[in-house]
Amino acid sequence: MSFPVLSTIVFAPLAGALVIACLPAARKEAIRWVAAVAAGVSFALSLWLVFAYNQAAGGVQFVENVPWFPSFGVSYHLGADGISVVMLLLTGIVGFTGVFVSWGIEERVKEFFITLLALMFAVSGVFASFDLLLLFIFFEFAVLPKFVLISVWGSTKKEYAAMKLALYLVLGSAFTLLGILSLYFVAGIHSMDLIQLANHPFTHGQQLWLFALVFLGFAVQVPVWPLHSWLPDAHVAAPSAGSMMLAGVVMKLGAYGILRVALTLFPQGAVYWAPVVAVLAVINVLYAAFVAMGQKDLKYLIANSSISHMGYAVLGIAALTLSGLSGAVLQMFAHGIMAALLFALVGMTYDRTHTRQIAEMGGLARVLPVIATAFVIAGLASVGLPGTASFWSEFLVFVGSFGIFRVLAILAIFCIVITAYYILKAVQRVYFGPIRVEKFQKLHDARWSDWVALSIIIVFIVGVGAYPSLLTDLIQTGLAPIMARLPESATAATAFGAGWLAWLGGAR
Amino acid sequence: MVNLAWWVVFLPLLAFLLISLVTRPHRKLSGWITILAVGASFVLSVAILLDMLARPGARESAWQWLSLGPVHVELGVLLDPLAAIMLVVVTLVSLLVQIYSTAYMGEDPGYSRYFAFMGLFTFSMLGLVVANNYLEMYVFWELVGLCSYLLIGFWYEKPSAAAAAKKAFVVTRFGDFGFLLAILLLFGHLGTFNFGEVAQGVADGRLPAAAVTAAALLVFFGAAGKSAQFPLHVWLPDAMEGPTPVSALIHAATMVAAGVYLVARTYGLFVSSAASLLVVAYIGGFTALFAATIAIAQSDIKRIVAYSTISQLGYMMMALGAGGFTAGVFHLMTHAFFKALLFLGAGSVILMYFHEQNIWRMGGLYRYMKITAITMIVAALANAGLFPFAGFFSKDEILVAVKESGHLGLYWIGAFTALLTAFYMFRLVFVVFFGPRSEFSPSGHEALPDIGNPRPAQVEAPGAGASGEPAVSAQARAEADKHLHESPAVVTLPLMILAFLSIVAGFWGWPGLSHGFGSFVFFSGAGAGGGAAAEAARAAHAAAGFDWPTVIVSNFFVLLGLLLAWVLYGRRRRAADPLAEILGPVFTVLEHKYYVDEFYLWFIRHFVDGGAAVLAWIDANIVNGIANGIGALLMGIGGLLRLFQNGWVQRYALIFFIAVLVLVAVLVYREPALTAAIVGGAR
Repeated sequence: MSFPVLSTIVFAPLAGALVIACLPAARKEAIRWVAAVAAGVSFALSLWLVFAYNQAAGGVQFVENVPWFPSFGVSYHLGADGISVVMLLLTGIVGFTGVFVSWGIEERVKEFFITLLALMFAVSGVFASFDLLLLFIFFEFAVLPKFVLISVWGSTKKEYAAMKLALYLVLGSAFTLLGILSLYFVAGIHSMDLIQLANHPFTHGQQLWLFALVFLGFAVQVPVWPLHSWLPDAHVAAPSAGSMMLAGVVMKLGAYGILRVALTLFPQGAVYWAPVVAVLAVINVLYAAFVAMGQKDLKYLIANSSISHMGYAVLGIAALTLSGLSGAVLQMFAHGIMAALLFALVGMTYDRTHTRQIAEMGGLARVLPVIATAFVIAGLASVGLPGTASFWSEFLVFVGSFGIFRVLAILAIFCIVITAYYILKAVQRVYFGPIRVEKFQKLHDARWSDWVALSIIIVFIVGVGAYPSLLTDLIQTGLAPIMARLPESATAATAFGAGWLAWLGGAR
Repeated sequence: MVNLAWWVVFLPLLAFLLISLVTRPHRKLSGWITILAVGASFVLSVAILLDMLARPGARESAWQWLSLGPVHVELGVLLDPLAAIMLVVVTLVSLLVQIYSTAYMGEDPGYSRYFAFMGLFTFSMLGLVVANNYLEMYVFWELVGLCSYLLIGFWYEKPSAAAAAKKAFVVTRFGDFGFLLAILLLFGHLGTFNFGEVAQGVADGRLPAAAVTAAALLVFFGAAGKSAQFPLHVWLPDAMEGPTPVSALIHAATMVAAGVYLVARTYGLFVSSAASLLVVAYIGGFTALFAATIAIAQSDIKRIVAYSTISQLGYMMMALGAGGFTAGVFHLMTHAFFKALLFLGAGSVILMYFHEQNIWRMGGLYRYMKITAITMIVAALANAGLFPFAGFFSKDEILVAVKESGHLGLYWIGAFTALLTAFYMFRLVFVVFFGPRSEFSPSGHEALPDIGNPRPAQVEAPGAGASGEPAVSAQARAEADKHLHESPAVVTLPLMILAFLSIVAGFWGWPGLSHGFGSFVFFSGAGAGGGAAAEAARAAHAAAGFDWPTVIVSNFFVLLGLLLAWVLYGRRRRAADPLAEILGPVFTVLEHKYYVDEFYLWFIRHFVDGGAAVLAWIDANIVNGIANGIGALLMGIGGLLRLFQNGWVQRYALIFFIAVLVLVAVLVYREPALTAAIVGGAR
């Protein structure tokens, strides 16, 4: 067996956390560097995967498959297809830069980095798992560090937010677990292996309810309206690196789960429920955009805009076309790094001004030019401007869904105007204009650790914006098996009232 | 030659990257890098144009950008006469603006940033010009919008500049929404983004008629956003909040030109749908008149020129809508020269005149800055369209095209707009450069309040100015006048070059000229058959020479407008607008731009922001409230149940005792039969 690259990616953060656990709490600088190295190993290897993955061969590569509970058909099965590679890269970027954004944390440094690395470990594990139970364990394990991050290092109603997050996510997991157990017994092949399960022919009826169950479980994490209300509170309460991980990676677990489990195993169910999912997605997009516009707190604004942006990913999934699904995966990546950047910047701004109220800031670009410039870039990425990764993901979602759900797609596309309005308004209020508060005259701009985080993320935003094929080719190979399993759609779509689709102005 | 085009496009981008990543601390060097890059692009563009003149035709080269199932996106270059002309116009105007900027922005702390953005701006526009497919055009289209945002808001500390930048971006994005829908619609039907393939598909009738019309109108909606056509025109006048050279670039060669260029580039769609042509023509004609009427009542020198831009863009759209492809594009070119000149001239005045922009605080400046004044007069004549200035030829072509298309109403709108154009241009010239110095003249650099258009009644009141500011003593003014002088050579040289072009550029379009503009840039029609018919029509048009009635009508109107301006403003004694009294309340409406901005603001405040506030409240209280409510309910139930689980043995015993009592009571008194059953069951 060759070098276990995926295990290394997944366990490097955990190893780092263990090393930190052995260090005395007073050696803060050493702790930070250990965290940086551990996350850096994971990041570097995930970047290496992008180039090492053999696109011509496709499929699941770098497989490590060791039986775990053979009696239940559970195994330690790691692997990476095109989608996993992209998501692991996202985790690497956000985790690594998150360490640098947290460089200035002075309170309980040791525990903080242990928690952060544990979170990175858990989410990497989800993206690399090809065993359903293993995936679920990683998925569940991720809740714990999130809870701790928010309730210990958080702000604004942190206990409430942490508890709310935990309850919502565990509730979602309950559905997911129910779905996993159901499909395990329904399939009856004594295997939790995703690849074997994907080849099992579930009947049409089974697919309908199993898809609904698993989708509902993962939808909480996306989050899909109206299950979203844990998210703004949690994102706002979390410390910067926590928000980065939440918005950048954790939210993606939901959409990833839908793709990897619900859609892969139950394609007919996906086709059946697609119109409902699409409607929810567009509600997500528009509703959250307006809610974001109405916020007075900068972090709440960004959190709500994240919900809006994830709506695009869900719409892309609902379209069930190659471009729609590719757009959805790319949107997970593009939104992940862009949201991480935004939350990092909001945190940096807050650390300096000690306020997040939009109305209390103003003119900060003069004293914080680097942070302001980065915020403008992140904001433009949020707006989906060409030259940023988000443009391609949104465009692919639009191309993919325009032919299927015409009216819904138009509504979603209109949101590019709304997003531009509220993002630029926030930029204008916070960073432009004259400095309104005298004490802000003496703020200090980005430090070296901030520079590291900001420049890495911006390189990826602009890099993928200029050369999207770097990731879309990978994503395409990852989607090939899913596309191959999608049923001949015309017949399946009629199952759920052709009237639905027709009313939405769509056709399949 | 196609390979050269890549260099033309990417050199300015290189300048942007070099400045932002390396040379930002070195001001002078940064300026030179952009000038050098744009200069090189200009030289290469000229080479491309000469080559194109020698061997006309379309050449394409492309590189696969993104390929995903049926979606293929190319990054390509399409060179044809239209693109070749635009390349030269864009690089030339941009180059002159950069040179001018070294003086205009000389003292600015953001000098390097400015030149970096200018490089990016030029790159974006050039990319838009050479794009070979809809999506690539959209990409650069958005980047042009981004650069406008960055440059309009260049002085981001000024609240008005920050607001104007956002407004420009959001309003044009509204148009972009339409453009994007058009792209998706066309792709959905034809499966391609390529201009040529789409045009071929449309010509072959592979698209239902309704879809063609919808796509054309959506494209036009996008173009209306960028080219500031009614009702999306509101961003352009505010865009003058940016540095004046930026305005020159935006108004002449980049941002607003993009919309007209887009319609020209996708003209195949429009000619396939009579309805869409009609919409373009009438929106264009209406905008031309609408903006011209506003321009006559503005007091800010840049604002007057800005409304003039909107009006002239309306002319171009009207031409395109009336089938005058060549006329529209020709006007786009000539307009680029004289509009850049007008803005740079205005900038020269502002630069020298204590950064004052209200024309009623000026007057008699001819004495101090003859070059600026003369070049401005040339530009005003060109803009008004008097023979033989450049604007005359292109506007004349437009009027002839409109006449040939049979829209006589539009023809007279166009002619009347020419009168208004001459009037407002010379209102500006007379008030700024001639007559006595204003009573409200600034005597130093301190910012003065905006006095708008002073009414004669206000000014006649002895002793006080319109804004109640104390009259400046003659002595102080004489002292201030000593500081007035002509702008430096880097400012006047671009002015003179542009003035020269504003005079001679029109002759290329002399009707009947054998190798004139019309035989170089024309719409050849897409598909077989279309070309021959278009060719015949063009030949007939070219042979006809001047359309004398139009020449006479338009020049008569221009002279009439000029005369009216002289009557009202040429002989004025005081800094007051007599037109305000003549037009009364109408003038106030014009001054307030028909209250369109106020309406939009009201709408946004009440419906967009208001709706957002309502939804935010609903989300925080109802959606979230339900979640909290479920939580509270469970907590409540838990709290109740807790009474039975509190660990006190006495309480448990009490509950047990009560339960037994209740049980016994029920059993004994109510249901003897049940008693028997249970007792029986226990046994």
